[in-house]
Amino acid sequence: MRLVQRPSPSPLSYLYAAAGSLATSIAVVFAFTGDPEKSLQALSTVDPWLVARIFVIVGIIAAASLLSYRSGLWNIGQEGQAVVGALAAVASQNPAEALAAATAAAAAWALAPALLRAFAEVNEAVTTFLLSLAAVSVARYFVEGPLRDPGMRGFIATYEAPALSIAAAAAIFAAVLAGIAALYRTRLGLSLRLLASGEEVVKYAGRSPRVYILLALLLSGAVSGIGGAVEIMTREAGRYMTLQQVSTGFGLYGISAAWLGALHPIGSAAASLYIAWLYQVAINLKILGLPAQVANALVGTAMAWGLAGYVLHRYRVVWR
Amino acid sequence: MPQQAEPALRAVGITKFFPGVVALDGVDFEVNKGEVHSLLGENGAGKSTLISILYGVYAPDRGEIYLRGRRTTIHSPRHAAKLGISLISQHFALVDSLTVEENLRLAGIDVEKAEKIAEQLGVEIDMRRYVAELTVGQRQRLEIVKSLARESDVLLMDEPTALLSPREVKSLLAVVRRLAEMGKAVVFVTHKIREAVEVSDRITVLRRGKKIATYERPFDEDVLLAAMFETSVKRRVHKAGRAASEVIYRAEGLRGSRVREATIELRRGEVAAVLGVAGNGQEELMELLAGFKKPTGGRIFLDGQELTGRPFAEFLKKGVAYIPEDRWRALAKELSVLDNFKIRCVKNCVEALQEAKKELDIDFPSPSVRVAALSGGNQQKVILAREVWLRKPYVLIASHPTRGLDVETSEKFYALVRSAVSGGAVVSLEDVEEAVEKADRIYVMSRGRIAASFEPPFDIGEIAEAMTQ
Repeated sequence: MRLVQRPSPSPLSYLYAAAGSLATSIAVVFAFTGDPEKSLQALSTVDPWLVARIFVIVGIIAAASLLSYRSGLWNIGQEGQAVVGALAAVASQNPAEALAAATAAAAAWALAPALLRAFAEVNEAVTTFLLSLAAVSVARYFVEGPLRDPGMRGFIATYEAPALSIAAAAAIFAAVLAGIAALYRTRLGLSLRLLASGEEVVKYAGRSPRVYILLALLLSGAVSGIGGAVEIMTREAGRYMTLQQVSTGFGLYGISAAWLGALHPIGSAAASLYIAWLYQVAINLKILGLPAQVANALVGTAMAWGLAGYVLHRYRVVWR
Repeated sequence: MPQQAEPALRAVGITKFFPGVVALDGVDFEVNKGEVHSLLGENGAGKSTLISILYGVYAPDRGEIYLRGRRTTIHSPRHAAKLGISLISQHFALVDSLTVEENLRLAGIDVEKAEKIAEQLGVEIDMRRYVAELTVGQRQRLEIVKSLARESDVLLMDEPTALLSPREVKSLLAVVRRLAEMGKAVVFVTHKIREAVEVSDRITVLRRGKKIATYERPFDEDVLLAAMFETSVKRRVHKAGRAASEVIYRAEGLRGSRVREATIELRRGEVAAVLGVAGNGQEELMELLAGFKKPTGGRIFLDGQELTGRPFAEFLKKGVAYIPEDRWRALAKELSVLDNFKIRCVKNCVEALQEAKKELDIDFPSPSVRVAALSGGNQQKVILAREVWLRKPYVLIASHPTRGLDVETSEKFYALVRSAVSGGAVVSLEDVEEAVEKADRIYVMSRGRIAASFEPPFDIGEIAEAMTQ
């Protein structure tokens, strides 16, 4: 078996990938319940508020991911950047301040990997991933220390983040998508996209590759931070962090949605909606008494299908 | 049929077409056991194509191959290896991070046997050294030992001396002679007359896909030179001489990693050609001239203003355009034709692109199609359209700008350069005739230096000689 580069890419591959993921998910649900009726229940029960919230969060983080991948850079530290964003939100007094602080803090969190990549050619996938682990420790320090709410007696948790409505969160998501679409039409956006074809091409265009590497990674980090802030602020209750609950796992979901959505703003939004539904399915399974890890497994297979779609988009398989 | 030994390898009437070119036109070639038979010709003569066919990389469109007298179809390089044919090319199949011994084992070769062969061949191979530590010549000798250990009896050597230092060339030629003494059939591809004369039993000259003749010892270098460049050896007086104009661009004593010393002058309205055989540093020279790479020494002046070491963006601003040899330096693979056009185009780009499409006859279905989906020739046209037609540069530095273009488009390119480039152009070329026909001044590059420069009237014989030294 060999992979041969297609003369022109095949967009159909993403449809196949989505169909493959859907089939896998249905098969997994059937395998776990072993009962058509229960399966149908698990697949069809939908809480619109929950799906809407997850959709917006995953969508924003997917947007953050594509900002990096469309420039050929591998930011996989969305989780950590989101945690830092959520921390900044917790430390803020009102939603506007929270969003601004989250953007700045998460961009700052992405600065070290960006500088290392731009000036020392250190692989950004490694540094962003490791900083995700670091973010959890940093968050725990803040939970126990500077941001601990003394009002919660005997319970170690932070202050509460300001509340944000789902409608406002959706508006922020729409603004992020529109911003990316507009950015990619400008000369600045063109240079960011040139980067995916190699630093030499950016240099050939008369620009400094370093500037665009920094910009792409900082933008990606900043938007992840917004995702993290939106996540904590849109909770119905418990808009605080505890020692056990720092990381939420939406970083992985966002990355999956970006790939499954062909690294396109609209595509990744559609994929985010699909992933939100998978999240709902996992909760339904949990209610039916099945293991909670199934949620991650389903999203994981969705990401695998998304990557397969990306590969088949550019290569065709030759069985010989 | 008379009872004489069949040639180890014989090719009859080999013809190969590539889109728009006849790469080989009914070429006959044979090599005997115990013989070194050289293929001599300038770039584009068809030497590499013939070698690729003998090694099973391409299938010939017409013609037959006989191996030890039996008609054979060579399906693939792997098949060629099985048939006892091996290729020593400039790209070695060695892993840098492993030792010589590990590399041999990796290739499934008995190390003791390899040691014995190395001894027979009179080459020294240190089994414990890492391949990364070996010189190019040592790697090449290791490849030769590998192919002998695999019981190959036909060795194809494609420009084996191109990357070697003069001393290593000497020892390689000795090894090649010893291979023949060991009864191997060696095909030695070169563009250097001296080497061919020194090492060969027979020499076949190819020119533009045709076999000119096969010569036997004793060789006459003048005859070989004439055969390589035949039609053009007659002195050719250049078109109307241009009135000497002022120097607008001057590079003095440029140095880089391969370029050792290059001084180039460009006068207003002039097209200067840099000629040389591949691998002599022309590509780096072009990078240095265009400001794409910073020189380690020397100075660059444009209109009397020093630009040495300034960023590429400043060269662009001063009206310098650069067309690199590798298209993927100038085109973003992942993006559409339009996005690629926008690398230089600022407004009304869709209209401009459509106009360029008509003007240069570029074939693409829509501006939004990915540039990687176009044919090589059309990609080159997109670059020419953007860098020359659209930008109308003051100084154009172009590396092999007409490679992959048909004759008509290449004519169009030169016409475009004359009309759209306001200052002058430096183009690196590999075809002497193209240079003589199109350029106002010719620099010949050899081993990282500008070895000679010529002004009209050009004498092709002299130029060719400077190139093949």
